[in-house]
Amino acid sequence: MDKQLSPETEAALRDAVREIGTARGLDEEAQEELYAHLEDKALGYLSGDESLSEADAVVLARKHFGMVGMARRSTVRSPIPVWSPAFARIVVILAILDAALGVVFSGLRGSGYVLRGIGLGSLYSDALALSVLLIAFGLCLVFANRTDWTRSGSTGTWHLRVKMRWLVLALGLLMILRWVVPGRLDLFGLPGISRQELPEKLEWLGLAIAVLWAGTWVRCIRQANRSAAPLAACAAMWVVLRLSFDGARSFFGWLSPYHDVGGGMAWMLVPGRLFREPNDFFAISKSLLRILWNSGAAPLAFIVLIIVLYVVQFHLVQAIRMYVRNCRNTQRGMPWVLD
Amino acid sequence: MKLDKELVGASTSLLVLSTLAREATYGYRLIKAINKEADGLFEWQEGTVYPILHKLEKEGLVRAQWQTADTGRRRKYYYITAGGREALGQGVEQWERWHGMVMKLGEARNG
Repeated sequence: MDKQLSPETEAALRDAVREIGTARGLDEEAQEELYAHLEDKALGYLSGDESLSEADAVVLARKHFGMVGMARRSTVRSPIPVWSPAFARIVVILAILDAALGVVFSGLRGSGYVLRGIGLGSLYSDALALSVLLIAFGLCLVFANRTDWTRSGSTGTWHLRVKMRWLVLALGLLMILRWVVPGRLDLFGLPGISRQELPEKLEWLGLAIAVLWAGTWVRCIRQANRSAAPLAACAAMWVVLRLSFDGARSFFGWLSPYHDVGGGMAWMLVPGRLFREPNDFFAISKSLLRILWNSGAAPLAFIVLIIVLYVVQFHLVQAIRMYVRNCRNTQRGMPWVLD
Repeated sequence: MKLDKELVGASTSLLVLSTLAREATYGYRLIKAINKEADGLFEWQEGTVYPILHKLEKEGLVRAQWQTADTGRRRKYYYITAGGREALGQGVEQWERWHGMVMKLGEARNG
């Protein structure tokens, strides 16, 4: 076995290992062991130490002379299974990124209050803070797209090396931080900031960032078919979510007697209503919705939608396409393709 | 003649431990060594051996260590532990008893 594999073959083996590793959630060490085995196997075939079985011969014959379409499809990587540990990690990391960015922006805004407290309020502006954050985010995007995820995946992407419990702990801490940071500024001897003062634009930004990160990740883990479709779909989903949420909020406002304009109109219009006085139920409902929105739960809900999107795009649509293709194959008298 | 799969499956751990008791080795070579010993009676695939190795490692019957093989490449070598040798001894003893009983029954059948 003194033969050496070419760099191209090594890269192909690494790709295969990455594919199997991500699909089965193998850790870095298991992937290295798998690579070592495949390397030995390939060298064995090249040197003649490994003999070909009849099944191997059939695979080779089909690959080289048989169904070209099948061979081409077999080179397209499979998406990560949705309920695999690898995908769960990606979702948790998305949530961490979103929560972390929320904390950073809260901190930036908090710094504006600190500056105002010492008479330097003019140095701060939301626009400046947003710009700083978006530039940082842009740099992260560039990094994400420039990194050779395929190659790094062969030894396990960084997120596979971190234990799940640490990821969940980090997410929990960040969610707490995200919630308390603005209210903790009175520790510096400055008046505490009520969460009511937090601009809702922050949540817009949080959602937008969650969408972009999700899109980036979905794109990165689907190297073979690079396209703008996942990003566009994510953006569309975000718009739908945002409109739904605004619609729900307006609806609650319309119901609530405490609402400034037209508040309680719906309630007063209910024929045979039980209560003539403003009802606390709607006010409490509206407050709960507001807390839900401001606490960062909305971006997390969005991540759930990302999973749905992922299932639809990479599993359901693929399955339907495969079925349609096979129906055509049947009509043409060709065998079914199962990969 | 190929051996019955269930018969081979029942002795998988024992075969791995006995091979490692001879010499520490890594997955690929272990499969080659066992298949060579089997001489056509059965043929192990990768999917059989690696899960067994990882299970034995978890049970503390073997330990693994990355080191450079004679080919110059880094490989994960598996070594049998004291616990592994003990388990091997017990396993072999059980097989001998089982073998003895089967032989006895076979002799009775042949009259």
